[in-house]
Amino acid sequence: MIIQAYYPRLGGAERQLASLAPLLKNLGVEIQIFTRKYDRVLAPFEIINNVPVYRLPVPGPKPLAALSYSISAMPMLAKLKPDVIHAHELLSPATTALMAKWLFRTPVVAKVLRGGELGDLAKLKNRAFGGSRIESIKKGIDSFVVISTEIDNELEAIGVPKEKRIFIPNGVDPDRFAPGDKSDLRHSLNLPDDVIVVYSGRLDPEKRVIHLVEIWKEVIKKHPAATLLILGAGTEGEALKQLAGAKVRFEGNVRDVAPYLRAADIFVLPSSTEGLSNALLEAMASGLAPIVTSVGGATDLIRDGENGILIPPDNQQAILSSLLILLDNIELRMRFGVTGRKLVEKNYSLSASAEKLNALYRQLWKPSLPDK
Amino acid sequence: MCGILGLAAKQLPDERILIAMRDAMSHRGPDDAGLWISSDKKVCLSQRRLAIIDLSPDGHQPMSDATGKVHITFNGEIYNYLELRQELQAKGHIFKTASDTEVILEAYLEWGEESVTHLNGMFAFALYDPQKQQLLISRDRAGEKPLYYWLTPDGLWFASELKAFTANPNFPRRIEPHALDSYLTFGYIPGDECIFRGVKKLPAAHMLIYKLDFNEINIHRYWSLPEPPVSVASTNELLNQFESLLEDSVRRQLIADVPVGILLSGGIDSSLVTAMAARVSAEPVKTFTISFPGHRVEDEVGYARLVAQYFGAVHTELAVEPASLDLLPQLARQFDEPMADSSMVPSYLVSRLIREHATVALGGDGGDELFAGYPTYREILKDARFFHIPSNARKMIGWCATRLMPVGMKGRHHLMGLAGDVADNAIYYNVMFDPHTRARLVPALSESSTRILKDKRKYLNPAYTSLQQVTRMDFQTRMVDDYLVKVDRASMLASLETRAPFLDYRIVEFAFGCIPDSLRANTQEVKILPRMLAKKVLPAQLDINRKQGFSIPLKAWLKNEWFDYSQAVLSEADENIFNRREVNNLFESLNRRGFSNKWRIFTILLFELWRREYQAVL
Repeated sequence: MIIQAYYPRLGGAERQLASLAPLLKNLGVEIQIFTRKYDRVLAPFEIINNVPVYRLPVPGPKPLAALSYSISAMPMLAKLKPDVIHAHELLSPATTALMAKWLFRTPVVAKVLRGGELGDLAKLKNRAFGGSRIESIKKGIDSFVVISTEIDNELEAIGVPKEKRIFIPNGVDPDRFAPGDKSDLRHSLNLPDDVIVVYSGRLDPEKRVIHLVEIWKEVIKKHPAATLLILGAGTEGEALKQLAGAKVRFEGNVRDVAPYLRAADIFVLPSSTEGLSNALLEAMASGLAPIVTSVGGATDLIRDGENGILIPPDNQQAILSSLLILLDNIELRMRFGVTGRKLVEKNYSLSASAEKLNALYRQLWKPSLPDK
Repeated sequence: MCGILGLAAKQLPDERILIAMRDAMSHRGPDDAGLWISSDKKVCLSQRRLAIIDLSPDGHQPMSDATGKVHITFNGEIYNYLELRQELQAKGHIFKTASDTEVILEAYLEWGEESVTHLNGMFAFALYDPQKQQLLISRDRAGEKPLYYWLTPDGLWFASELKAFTANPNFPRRIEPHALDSYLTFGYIPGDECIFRGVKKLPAAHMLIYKLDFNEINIHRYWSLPEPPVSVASTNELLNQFESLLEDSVRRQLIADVPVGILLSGGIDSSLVTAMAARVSAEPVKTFTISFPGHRVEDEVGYARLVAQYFGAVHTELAVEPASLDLLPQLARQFDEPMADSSMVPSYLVSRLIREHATVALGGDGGDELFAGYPTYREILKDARFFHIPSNARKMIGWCATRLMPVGMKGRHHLMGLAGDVADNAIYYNVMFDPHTRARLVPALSESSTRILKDKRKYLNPAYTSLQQVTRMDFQTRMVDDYLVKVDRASMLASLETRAPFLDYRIVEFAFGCIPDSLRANTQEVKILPRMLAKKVLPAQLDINRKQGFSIPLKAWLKNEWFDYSQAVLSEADENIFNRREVNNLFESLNRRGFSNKWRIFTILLFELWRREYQAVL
């Protein structure tokens, strides 16, 4: 597994891999994770939850860092001789994987993390040698793990054949993220026992949390008892706190998101770009009513009016009006909660994703025949 | 409120027969009568009208839309008709009357069959679309308004009451054995079954489409209860939402062009309705209650008086004497099908009283099903502890109870219910005659009524909690086919329209789709959320832990004032149906301690009175 970051910095992609790793291990897949040593204090090697994690140095400015990362990965890959390399993101993880393939002929699986204007492919196009990198990815990567229709369409557009595009959506553990009694939970989390709207995720610009924080002043005019709960940290964290008015709670990076989600009522994801948001899957599994921008996998997951509300991206008025609808209508919220959880249990469970990945690895794996 | 009747056939019968059938329901609509026959003489729609909204002749029914495309006969009220009217006007529809009836017609022209889902109200209507050559018959979500249909090789009849059919000399008055079996098992006839062979009830929340060309009916459900919530909103929020929904429902249901009153028992539900009504009306509300002088338990007029005073209501009390015995045959007839609910007596008496002062009355019906108010729910939850006993042991005990304990001995049904699973137990709480006893009582019914108990399991979804299961079952069976029938027929006999603000479908969806079990009932308390609201809005002196309904001192009356009469009736009970010795045994047990057979005696008594009235044969 090659991924940009890993513990302790956890975005959606990292958390997804962290939850999948033990399940894959149970299915007999030995996993090693290669990631960046983005902070000097981090150990170059560590075993986290029974999974070995190698952190490779990333010195100097960006292009150099990427190159150094890729090159230093090679001797280690030569030593470990993986049967399959799985790159998480089409940018430098995929480049590293392709370099390994070129040297050792290891089959490569690549997961496209995000689609849309700020997605993996769009970013790649703007990078140095973007065009040729896309070409080599198209040729070199054996299978693409696709998590949304949006991403599938983008890959099709650059000419990746259908048999190479494998739909394996992100999964969530429906036992860990499950609805339950809120009242006691709120008490123990020190949250008010009244309606709670939650955002969970990085506080980075493309998430557009600012839109939510800005309209909250309007929301509490009509629903003064409502609380906006913001989970996560990021580059915008401080600015958002400065901006926030009354009844907004910042909890930062919490160790376990599950109880916070369970304690909430409505989930809002105002992002301008997404792959398949784990936070959304977790919220749906927790029985929350979601309001989500129609980007990335959200359009596969949310049927507007049936299990959530889909709104156009970058439209604050839409966030406000949808919030007011759901705050006024408990019945609708409960209905969304029931149908949303059912969908996640059926199609987006972590165990289903692990099984599909396992099958994919085994299909690509060419056992080296013993020398005669 | 009205009585509707209609027919679609290759050839219509003599108009005099149609009029006689229609007028058998005059009590449902003493104000006006109408009969409409299509130009091709294939369809007849007719109605007896009790004028409530738009008292002018414009409200006359059957009604056609402004362009004469579709025709309707309608019984009920549409509580959101003003909004729908506006919405339809904005879409270019033109209205010629101020009635809610016309709104249904225009809604159909706009949205077709799906239009019924736009209606918030209590209704049964038949709409004829000549262009499609079809009749659309629909019944409201909770089943407040009745509808019977009778499909013959020549065509389809429908009516609000069976009395319309029995007024037709050609109607065969044969008893349907399966329905009799259901009646003896539950004390009412559930679902689409009807006591007369060949007739069916259209179940609540269903729609029937009849194609004239093929003489075929197609029935489908247009609305279902929402699934139970997986997530839970805060108690505060739920309480506020409940209050605002109830207030809105009461506000809508107070709308009428005639005087409106409230049936106030002094229990939580009718007291909450009174509270909301007082809040939204400019005038003092009118409340009505009945008393049973000399019967301590049933006579709790003090509570009703307290609530009425607190809200400044104009309050009327009526004392009921047991002399009302002569009412029984009249009620047995009025109820169309045999029904063993003794509160039909006070329901009728209070309706008659109210009718002197008002034409419309609001009641607390539905509150107990929606918010788990029956004390049996507490018991069913407590019973969970018995299911730790191995099932073989429970089966053995049930077997012994069935055969060794005499009928009516207290605890017998409980042991029998516990012999099965959670569902059997819930069902047994409301069984009149168990299959074993029923077989001895009516040997003429060859089939075992075990099947009837099994049928009822279709209302129980094992994926839900036992409280959700049992309240859903009661909402869809006992409430529709016993309690709502009782309210409809008893009030209609007095030409009074009753309304049930709790049964506004938004409150129904809220109750089943939003409220967690923890706010409905547990082993200690029932009806938790309404009691929270009661604490907030009702007078503090009101004892909100009591269970109060319109009930009569049945056992005392059966032992005293009604004794001779009921014995006389039962001694002449049809021997082709009942085993005389079994009936006598039941009667004798009235004086034995540790026995409770009053309901079972009432069940047979009412059946016999019904059979005599309708001269029905098995």
